Amino acid sequence: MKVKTRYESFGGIICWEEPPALFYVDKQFMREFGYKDSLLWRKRTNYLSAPTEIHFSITNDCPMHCQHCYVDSGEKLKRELTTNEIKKAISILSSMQVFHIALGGGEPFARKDCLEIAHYCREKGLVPNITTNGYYITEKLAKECRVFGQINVSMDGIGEYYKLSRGHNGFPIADKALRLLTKYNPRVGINCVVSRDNFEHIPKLVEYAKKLNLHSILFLRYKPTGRAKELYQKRHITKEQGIKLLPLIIQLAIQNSIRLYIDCSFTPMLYYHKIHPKILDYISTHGCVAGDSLAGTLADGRINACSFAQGDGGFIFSIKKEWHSNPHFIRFRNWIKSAPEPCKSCDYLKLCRGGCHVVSEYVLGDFNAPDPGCPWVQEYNQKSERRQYVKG
Amino acid sequence: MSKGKIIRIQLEYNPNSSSSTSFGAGLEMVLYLLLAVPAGAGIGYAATRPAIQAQYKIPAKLNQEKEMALNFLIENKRKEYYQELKKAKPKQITVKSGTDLKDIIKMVKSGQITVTNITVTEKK
Repeated sequence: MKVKTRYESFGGIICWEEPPALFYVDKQFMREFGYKDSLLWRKRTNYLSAPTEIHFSITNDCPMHCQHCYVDSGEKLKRELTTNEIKKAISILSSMQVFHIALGGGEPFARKDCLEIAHYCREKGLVPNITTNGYYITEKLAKECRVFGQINVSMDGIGEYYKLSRGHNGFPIADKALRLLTKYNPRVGINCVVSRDNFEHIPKLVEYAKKLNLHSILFLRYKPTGRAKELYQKRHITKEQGIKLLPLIIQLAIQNSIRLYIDCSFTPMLYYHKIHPKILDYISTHGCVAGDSLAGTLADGRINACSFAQGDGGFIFSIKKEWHSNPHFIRFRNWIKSAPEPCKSCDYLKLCRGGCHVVSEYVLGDFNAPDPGCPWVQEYNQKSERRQYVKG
Repeated sequence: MSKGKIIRIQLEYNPNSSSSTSFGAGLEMVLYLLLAVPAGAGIGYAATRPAIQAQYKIPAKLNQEKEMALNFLIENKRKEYYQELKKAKPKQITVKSGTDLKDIIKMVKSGQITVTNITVTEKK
């Protein structure tokens, strides 16, 4: 079993490869694990010494042109990083002791050097994972994908539901890719963007994943970035659907014995069910971790706190410095300090961190506003409106 | 004995553009770790607290988080068990000591599962 460790102000993080897990441990645990005291232990910081994971868009090139693409992909950017530049970036991330790298795009396999990049990640001690639309997957490529820790194929539904969501009939391509990938790789899953149109179709997708013996499905919230902005108001899930999401996926996971994930921006809908915050914290069920354990890189090398975030976090080659001092990262990690109501009084504030700021910024024009998709925020706003109406 | 503490566990890889958290089978795996159950052991169908605690040597007294985790695990296992029973429509069930018979009888009475005979293999 491969184990990697790095120091943090609270103690350290231990990374296991099989089963894949990160353990956040205290100083005493580190000592018992054979590590000497670190200078970092004298500092008090409210964020990690480096991201645990980087989302790296290696190209904007994509043949699928999905109507809700969050990075508006299709054509290559004018100035995308070269193979050597990406390798240089990976070396820097390795020296920061980043553990995982999620390769994406565009379509990452549109780059001929995608596998070379993945092997270089391994060489440098990072686990490469990947999201693909399946377009370039052949039997040969599927075999070579063993280099990845996990491979997810984008698919929001079966047949017509795929088309309804993505605006083209890419289901046969994604289906074929999944069948080829599962022949040779143990960790193959689906990325499903959940909208009000495919919400009722989720059980069918889970059944399909079970039938194909897939490892997992990751359900992603519809976020208003890239081309998805245009359809956001029509597509984002309703309050009722948000409340139904957690019981639905727990029921489906139990019935089908399959791992079902939700992304960080869905956590306000999860907290609404009042699971004890301590246990959620213990199993890392956190909301916005942008600028805390996460950073994103665009195909031209610009970085940000998460791959959906707008703003200037600097450039990948200076990430060591930017991580600690760039206002873009600080803004995300310090949000809690100035949280407005109802977040300020919420028991889940430290876990949730205000929900998805990308959604707040687009819908309300205010990065700092509470996530308008949170059921509690919606109820709070309704009550406030009623109070104002009565006063008026 | 170790005095060091695990503050937090984050399981699985994240292949996507935003951070994620797992439920269902994924959460169950976290609970295995949380309760120090050997990985891959798999908990049998005798999904009751005494049976699970005895089988995996989980101490009788647990702290609050572990208590919650254990209850969650038992509840999930029960649901899974009853779902399988419903599908299988068995003629006979052999139940190990400690299994919650009341719930099975309730399901038989309500017609959710059809069973002609229930055998208990050991006495409590």
